[in-house]
Amino acid sequence: MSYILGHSAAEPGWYVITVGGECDMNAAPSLSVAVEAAFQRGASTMVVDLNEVTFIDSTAIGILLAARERLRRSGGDFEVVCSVPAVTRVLEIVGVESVAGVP
Amino acid sequence: MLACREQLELKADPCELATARRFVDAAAARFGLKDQERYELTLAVNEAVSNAIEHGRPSPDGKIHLHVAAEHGALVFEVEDHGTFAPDPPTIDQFHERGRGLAFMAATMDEVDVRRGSNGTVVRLCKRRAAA
Repeated sequence: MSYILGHSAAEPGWYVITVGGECDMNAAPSLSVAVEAAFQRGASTMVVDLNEVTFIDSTAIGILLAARERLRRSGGDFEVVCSVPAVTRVLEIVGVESVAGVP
Repeated sequence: MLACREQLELKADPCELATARRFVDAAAARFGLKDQERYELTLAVNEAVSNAIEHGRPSPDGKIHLHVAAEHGALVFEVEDHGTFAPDPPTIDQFHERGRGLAFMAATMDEVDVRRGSNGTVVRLCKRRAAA
C-alpha cells in the first residue's frame, strides 16, 4: 500500500489521502499513519481517494470508519471517493457511501 | 477435514495475507469461478486468515493452515489456527472489528461455519459455482 497526503492552501483543513495498492491488515499501520497525520495537521474535511486501491478489507475499513466518526463528532466532513467496483462492493457491505470521480 | 485437498502453511503474520490471497485466487480460477466469485472468495478467506493471525499472534511459532477442496460443485476453504495460548480479553473495538470481518464472510459466501475447539479455530467457507 502507498499513500499521498495532500491539502489545499485555499481551503484550510481540507485534506485528501490518495491511497493505492492492497489495503489489508499488513497495510493498516500505514493507513493509520496517513489518517493521523491529517488529523495532526488540523483536518476538518478528509477526502479519501481509493481509486488506485486493488483490494480493501475490514481492517482498513475499520480505520476509515473511525476517522469518519472522529470527524463527525467534531463537526467535520468525511468522504470516500471511489469508482472501482471491487472496492465499492466492500464499502457497500459495511454501509460506507462513496462518490465516483476525482476529489 | 476436507478430503483431497491442497494446503498452504502460513506464519501468523500480516505479511502472509497477500500470499494467502494469491493461493485462493489461483484455486478459484482453476475451479472455474467467475471474476466476481473469485474476488468474493479472496475477500472472505482474507478475513478468516486475518482473524487467525490475531489468534496466533502472541505465539512466535504460530502457524495457520489454509486448506482447499472441491465438494459437490462448491469450492471449500478451511482456515485453521492453533491459538491454544490464553489471549488477553478482547476489547469492544476488537469485537467490533472481528464482527465486521464475519459480516464480510457472511455477505460473500454461501456457507460460513466457525468451529472453536481447545486446539484452535477452524473457519469453513463455501462458495458454490453460479449456474451458467
